[in-house]
Amino acid sequence: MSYLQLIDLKTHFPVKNSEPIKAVDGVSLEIVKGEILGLVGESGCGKSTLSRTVMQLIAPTGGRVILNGEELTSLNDEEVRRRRLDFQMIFQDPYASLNPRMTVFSTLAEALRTRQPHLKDGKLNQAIAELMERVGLDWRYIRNYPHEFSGGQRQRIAIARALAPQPKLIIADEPVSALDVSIQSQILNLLKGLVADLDLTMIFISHDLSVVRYIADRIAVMHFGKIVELGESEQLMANPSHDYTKELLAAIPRIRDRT
Amino acid sequence: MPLLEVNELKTHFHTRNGIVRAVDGVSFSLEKGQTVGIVGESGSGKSVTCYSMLGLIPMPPGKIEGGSAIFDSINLLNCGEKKLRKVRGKRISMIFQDPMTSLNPYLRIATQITEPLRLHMGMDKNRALKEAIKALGEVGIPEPDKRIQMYPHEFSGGMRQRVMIAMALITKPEILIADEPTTALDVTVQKQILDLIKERQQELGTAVIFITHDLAVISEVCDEINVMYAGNIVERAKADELFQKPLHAYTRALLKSIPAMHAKGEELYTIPGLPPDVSKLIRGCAFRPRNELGDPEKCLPNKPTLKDTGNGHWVQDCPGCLA
Repeated sequence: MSYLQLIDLKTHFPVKNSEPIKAVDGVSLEIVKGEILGLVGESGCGKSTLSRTVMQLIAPTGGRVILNGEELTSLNDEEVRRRRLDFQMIFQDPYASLNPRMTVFSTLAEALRTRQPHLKDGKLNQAIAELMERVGLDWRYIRNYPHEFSGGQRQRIAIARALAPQPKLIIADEPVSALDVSIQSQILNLLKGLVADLDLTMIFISHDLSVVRYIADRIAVMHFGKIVELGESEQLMANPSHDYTKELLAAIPRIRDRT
Repeated sequence: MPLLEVNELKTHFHTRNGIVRAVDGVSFSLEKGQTVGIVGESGSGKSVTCYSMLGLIPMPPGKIEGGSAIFDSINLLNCGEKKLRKVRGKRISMIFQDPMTSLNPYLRIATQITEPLRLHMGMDKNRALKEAIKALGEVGIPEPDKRIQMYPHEFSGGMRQRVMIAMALITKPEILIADEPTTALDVTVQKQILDLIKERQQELGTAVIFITHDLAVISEVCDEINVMYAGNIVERAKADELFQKPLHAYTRALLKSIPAMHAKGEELYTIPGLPPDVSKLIRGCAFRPRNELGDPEKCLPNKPTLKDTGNGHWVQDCPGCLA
């Protein structure tokens, strides 16, 4: 059974004296538990609006979002707030998404307490230490601030923060685009391992098709607010059927054949 | 004689936390019309190398500790600001990663793009404007005569980068330095911009120094590639040669860690640890602590030098990294 289901989801932004901008225009998708779905498309195609709509940060113009059999789009604000802990986001630039005035400890403590408000002292410390170990951060850095870490380590903090409320769905919006090649592979391995170990479901948004091909089980190609092609990732890369997918694939710089 | 010859360039930053040896003895040369790539991770010194040549390093804290960069028998590193101004933006120009931050948001494109023409070529306003409109047309901006009167925010990212390219090439420079010119752009736009740079380069015979961290991009555009690590070039070869026969352990590790080189589901290779802190003096081979593919035991205790292995393939002569 599908875990997350989007049915004809639409998010339009009204424009004065003009047609509304159809950022998400009738997206239907099903994601099964434990799956990594890659979402690719260019800037402005509606990827981020789609993820915000799924997160219930923007109210959809039409359509339904069903998570684990429950229709999120019909819940009231209070309920939505509670459910929101179930889905967390990881952003591209961990420096911009971490509070520069909060140590690793306070960032993670805050995130943990969203789910377990009464967590403190020894138990809190233990939970934080576990999270840090989980994402491969040395607990000795617990009192350090974001600027003291490298980009890759910062992304690890952001990942730990996303894991803290024990989410079921993670939306990763270009999580490795800002990282160096050698660090990128570390984070990709980490994300892949976490999804498998914690039985998470993930939407992985990226414009880098070679990264998406590697990490995602299926790929959805988005263009002008619509999913133009959806398929098993290797297959989609090998046999794209939609013209836009073909164009996208042709544009990827490739390392010359190593023969 | 090469168009540009950089020899043993050293740029250090004297900070409160010690001396940051951002570039520590870099040598390379560039022939007319050639495209040379510098690839490396953040902090490896690729940008500082190019900024040093154009006198764009803030001093202090920066200081050029040694070396030379000979361009048309001028040593760019010590020729003085006055002479450098005649070169920078005219004979050597540069484009940057983010065209939004390198264009002045308060000024119309027209003002910005005609500036090099008026400054370096002494053109009057009308002639400069005419030239500029022509240049915008050549980089594929539709209705250049109208668009030239607009402000940077009215352009998309790809269009802004086109404006930057038009501006950089308007004085027909002999060298174009492109510092991560497509990193902020979408794949399809990236392709357009890379094609545009190639096309303009062929028409004008410009040599290009292409800085990037993206191995795939560099493999598509460059004739020759320099791999930088911790302020040094660790390997240099023709593009095909580098990807077919990488010699240095760092280059091998980099190639091994990109997803495109892996089958699905296969664990990605990761280089252990982090790039070294260049504010600490590195003794011996800088890659030693992360050298897994070679033999760290055999890494040199003093700094390895580049040696020619034939066919223009240079590599740091460190037995541990070549193992």
